[in-house]
Amino acid sequence: MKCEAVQNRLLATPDALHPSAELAAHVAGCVACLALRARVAELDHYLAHLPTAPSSDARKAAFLESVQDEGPIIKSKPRTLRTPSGTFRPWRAVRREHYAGLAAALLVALAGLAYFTRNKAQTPEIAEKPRYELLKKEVRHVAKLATSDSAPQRMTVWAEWASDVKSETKDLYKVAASDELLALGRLFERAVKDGILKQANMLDKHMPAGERQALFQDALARLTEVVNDTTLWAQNAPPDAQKTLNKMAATARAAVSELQPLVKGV
Amino acid sequence: MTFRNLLTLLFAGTVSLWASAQSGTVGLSAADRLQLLKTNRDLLDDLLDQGTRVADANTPIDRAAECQRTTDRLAREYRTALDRSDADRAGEIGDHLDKIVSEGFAPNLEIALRDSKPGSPDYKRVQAIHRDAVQSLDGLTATPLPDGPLTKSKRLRQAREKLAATTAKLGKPDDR
Repeated sequence: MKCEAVQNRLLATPDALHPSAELAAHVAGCVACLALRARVAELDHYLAHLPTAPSSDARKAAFLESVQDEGPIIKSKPRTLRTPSGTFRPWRAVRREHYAGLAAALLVALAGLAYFTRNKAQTPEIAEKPRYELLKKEVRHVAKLATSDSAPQRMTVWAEWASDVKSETKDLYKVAASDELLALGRLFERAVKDGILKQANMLDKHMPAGERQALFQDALARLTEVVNDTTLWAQNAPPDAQKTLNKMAATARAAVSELQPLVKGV
Repeated sequence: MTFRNLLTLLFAGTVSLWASAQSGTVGLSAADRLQLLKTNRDLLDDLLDQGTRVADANTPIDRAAECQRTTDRLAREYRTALDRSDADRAGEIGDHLDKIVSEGFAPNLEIALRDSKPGSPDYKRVQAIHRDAVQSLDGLTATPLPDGPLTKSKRLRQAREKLAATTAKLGKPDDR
């Protein structure tokens, strides 16, 4: 054990003249530690003989009251940064309560780093314009139709297409001018008539009943949802929008009526 | 602060970082989307037309031909964007072109080439479609861009590179 460690532990020992066997063994053979122990013992002696003011119950009560009124200045026991063996461990100074603060600081630093790095990488570029999600979906549908070999597959794609147009309508019917909304209404009508219904009428009449039902169930569910949603939206929509929404509902309702007899096939 | 608070803070931080990493299309205002609808109205109509034509096509040759018509329509939009020096729009349309070519045109071309006998009318038709497509796509990707915003756009550069790679995969048409 090193002298520094022994001396630290010696200072922490209540009775420096009678340390533990481990410390005593070192002190006995070390001049420096022996001198320190003597000095500590001397100081302990002086402390024990310091003159104290005469006490009384009244003084004691006054002192206790002052302590309780003001609150102790040090409310928690200070933590030592050294272990009993004397090793210095700075992280012991970090209390558990500080971890959140450190984590927040770390996140802020990371976000800042990401922001400035990204800006640096894009310096020559202007901010990108947003892409149109409905256009992306339409392109995907066309690509899917190009590899769909059968009417059921194509009918599924058209049902998704019609649903996408409905979703776009949902987000825009309150703000769109009548022209734009009419354009969406037309897209929906064509996806239903030229898509879903056309493919439904091309289905093999001898298609297995289970497959047929599953296929129609999906299309019917989507169309019924359009009827319900657009009817609901129309109640609080601007007058121009009401016309288009009601037309979409009527288109979907008519398609449901046309599809229902086809569910059973032959 | 408790350990639970720490976890909550970490979670919120992670979500914030994730959100900031998303593309610009997330959380668009209704006004922005309305503007996008106005810009794309004609193209949406035309794509729906093309969708019905593709769905009506019964053979791989016919489907390849309809896909080719779709790419022609998108190519027109792409060129318009380049003329306006609108790099983002050109990049967007370039990606859509790539989608139609790689997932619609290429698979049908491959089947049509495989199934048609050399010298037959079908074979000649497939070759013509193949040749037109490659010429058209090469014209879009090989032409150097004028200096300015178009060359600075990472989005457009990536779209052109992707489309060039897809075009290369189509192979060279047989000119015999």
